[in-house]
Amino acid sequence: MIKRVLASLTVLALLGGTAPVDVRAAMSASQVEEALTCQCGCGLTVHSCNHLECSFAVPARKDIAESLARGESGEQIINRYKLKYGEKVLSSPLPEGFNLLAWIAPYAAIFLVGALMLVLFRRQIGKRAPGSRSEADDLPPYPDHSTPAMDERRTRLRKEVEDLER
Amino acid sequence: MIAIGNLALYLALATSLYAIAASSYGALARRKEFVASGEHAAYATWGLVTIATIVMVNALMTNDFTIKYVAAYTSTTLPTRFRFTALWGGMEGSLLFWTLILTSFTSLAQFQNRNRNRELMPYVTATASTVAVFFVSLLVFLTPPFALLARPPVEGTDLNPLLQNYWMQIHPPALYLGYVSWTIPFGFAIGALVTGRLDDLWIRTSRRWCLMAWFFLSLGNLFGARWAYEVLGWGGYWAWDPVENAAFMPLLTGTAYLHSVMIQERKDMLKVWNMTLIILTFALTIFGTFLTRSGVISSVHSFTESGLGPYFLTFLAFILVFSFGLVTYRLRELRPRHQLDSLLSRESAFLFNNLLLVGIAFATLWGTIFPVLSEWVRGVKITVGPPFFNRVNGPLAVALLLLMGVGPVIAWRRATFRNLVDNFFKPTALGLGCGAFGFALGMRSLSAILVVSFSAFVLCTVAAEFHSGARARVTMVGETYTTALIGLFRKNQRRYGGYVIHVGVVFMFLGVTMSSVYRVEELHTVKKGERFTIGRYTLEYQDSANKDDSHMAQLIATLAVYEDENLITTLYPEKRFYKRPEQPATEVDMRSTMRDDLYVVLGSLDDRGIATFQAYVNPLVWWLWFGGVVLVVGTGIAAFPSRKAAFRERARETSVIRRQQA
Repeated sequence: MIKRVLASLTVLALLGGTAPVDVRAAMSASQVEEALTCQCGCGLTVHSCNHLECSFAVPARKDIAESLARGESGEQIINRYKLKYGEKVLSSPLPEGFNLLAWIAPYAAIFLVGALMLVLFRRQIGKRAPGSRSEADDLPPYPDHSTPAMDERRTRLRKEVEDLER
Repeated sequence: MIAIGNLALYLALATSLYAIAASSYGALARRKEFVASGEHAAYATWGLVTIATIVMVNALMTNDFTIKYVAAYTSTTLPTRFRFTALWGGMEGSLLFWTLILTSFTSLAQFQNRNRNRELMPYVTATASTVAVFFVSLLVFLTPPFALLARPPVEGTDLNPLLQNYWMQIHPPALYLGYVSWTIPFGFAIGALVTGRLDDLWIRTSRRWCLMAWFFLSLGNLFGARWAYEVLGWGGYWAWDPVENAAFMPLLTGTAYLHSVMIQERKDMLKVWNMTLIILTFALTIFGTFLTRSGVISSVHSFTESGLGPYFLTFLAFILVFSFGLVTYRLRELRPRHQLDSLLSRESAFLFNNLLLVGIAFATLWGTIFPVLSEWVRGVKITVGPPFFNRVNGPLAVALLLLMGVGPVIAWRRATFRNLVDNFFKPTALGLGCGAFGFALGMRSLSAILVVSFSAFVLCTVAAEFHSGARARVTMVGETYTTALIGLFRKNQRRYGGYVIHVGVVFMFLGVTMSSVYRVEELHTVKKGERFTIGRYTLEYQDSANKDDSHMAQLIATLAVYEDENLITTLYPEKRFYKRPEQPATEVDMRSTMRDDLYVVLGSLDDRGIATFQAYVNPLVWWLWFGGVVLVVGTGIAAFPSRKAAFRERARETSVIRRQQA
């Protein structure tokens, strides 16, 4: 069981880990626009900038469309903007060097804490010797003073309550 | 009046300091008269801060431009309804408003507990008063709201046009109510740690405060999203801006806390974890205030750089060191009395739900502060924008959605294979069916298919819970099915209210995913009488109009909207030019239906009547807002359980069963 859950956590981590993979080989105009941050101060990407007459986003969108039409790749366009404005123009950190930490840390933290939780709880559960009593076993037994009709009704009631408690 | 405002703040600082000292001494020395005196001082602080706020509101309403704040955030032409909004439009006013809410809540908590929880209350008063001392000190020494101008202007600068919107009238108050409410449960937690009353008393006592805090934080986030949607005109509602993140993080840790306390109440486990969550949630509310006011991280929402950052950081460090110091001191007593029975259990599902919620909060915090880290370590400015948060948090959120369906149905203590099959076969089949149906309809986005499948799964598990509960009542009590459903709510409002909240959250997931993945957007430049098409809509630009008054000038376009050549509505997107301060703004117009929103922004309109429109079709976004309404209803049900109604319901059931037995 623990292995299966750990495997699931690994898959989750890998899913997250796949996120920063560079997919800029064949990018559409909107993907390139999404990869760049508008420099007008709106805090949005070039694609989402809400200033319809924005001095940065509008020319950038035009430039991106024209560059792609000329045959320049998405990656080349992004690199050109990076050279001109610095790394801050990229809407998310490149998965390299120190920036790799940005992508890895959240999933690594979740994975480590999840694994630690599993190991701790597994140990707790394992510590309980076979046949040892759990909290459920400490509950008082049902009193036995009834007629067969009441027994039947009680059994039905207990089943319904158990259904409700699920 | 201004002197009264200033004097009230100075006195409030003195009374709140006295409240800390008297409450703490009274509790430690077991001197009831000092405890009472501390509480009276906290009431006095509330009265004094109220007086200062009334003075400020009066100044805003009467355009008293001798006060720097009033001159900076109002004008004679600002509509009256927005003058009150100006109270939280700037740094000083917002801090005053924050302090008013804090002291009001402190007084309310004291009044509620005047005859109970007397052991914990002095520490609640002392904790809340410590927070009050911090905020009142800022108002007295660093950002005085009643600072005067040597030469008062004839006219004020006016409120930022983006804030002149009805959503901005309710978004900040809702958010502040949410932020500040967490102070009271935090106070109870500190009280429990100091006194050693580490059973679930503090949790039960502060439960409604937690729900209220969670409710207002949720509303604050939703109102903010709606404001962004209507006002910012980019067709979206969430941009992972640092200030948005600051409001989102305590909501996540608070949600984790609301789930994990159920395990402490039921099994006496996770005491350290619950203490950690409440401390983190409160600390994140202070961190959010720090982000908005420090200027450390650039944000469209933040106030101007103020130099308050170091004070907030120091206070934050004090909170964390003091609180976790107490947790460490009590670590031995916080050990659980029971242990997990199985990894396949509801407790386990709740723990993984906690892991994901706190994981998303950490990822959000990490992304928010990473630019600062990068600048410190590498000396290079970088941006961590929406693509990062969507990629990192997306998979976690989808996993969380799945757990939302598992948690309520899986058995407590230990689930058997039979139990899993019984409970999950139908929801899983429905989820897979819905995913396949979506694929057959042309959905190719993995995230969209997963969200549709998991949403169907969750809705099915919730429906099954209601159905089995109602069926049991029909069998036991002999009620009709409808009466049985109502009876379920009456008897266990907390549980069924929680399920309603889950339904609301599912709707929100669907709205967010579909409107993000399948959004259509187009830019069109047209002359009068020309048409353009977007999605299933055809829009005809019919006319334009100008309006001009002393407050603003408006350019309004008229667009007829057709579907299958039938006129379905007319839209009036606007471009506004506010005169003080001179600033352009867009006024979006939209047609909102359950299926999609047609959302139109007027980009430009020249003298020849040629207009540029940015149009969007956002599928299912209506469900995001509707999910918010469902969430409000669910929280209302869960937060205010009527003991009398539950008692009457149980008595009625018992009498019916007895009659049947007789």
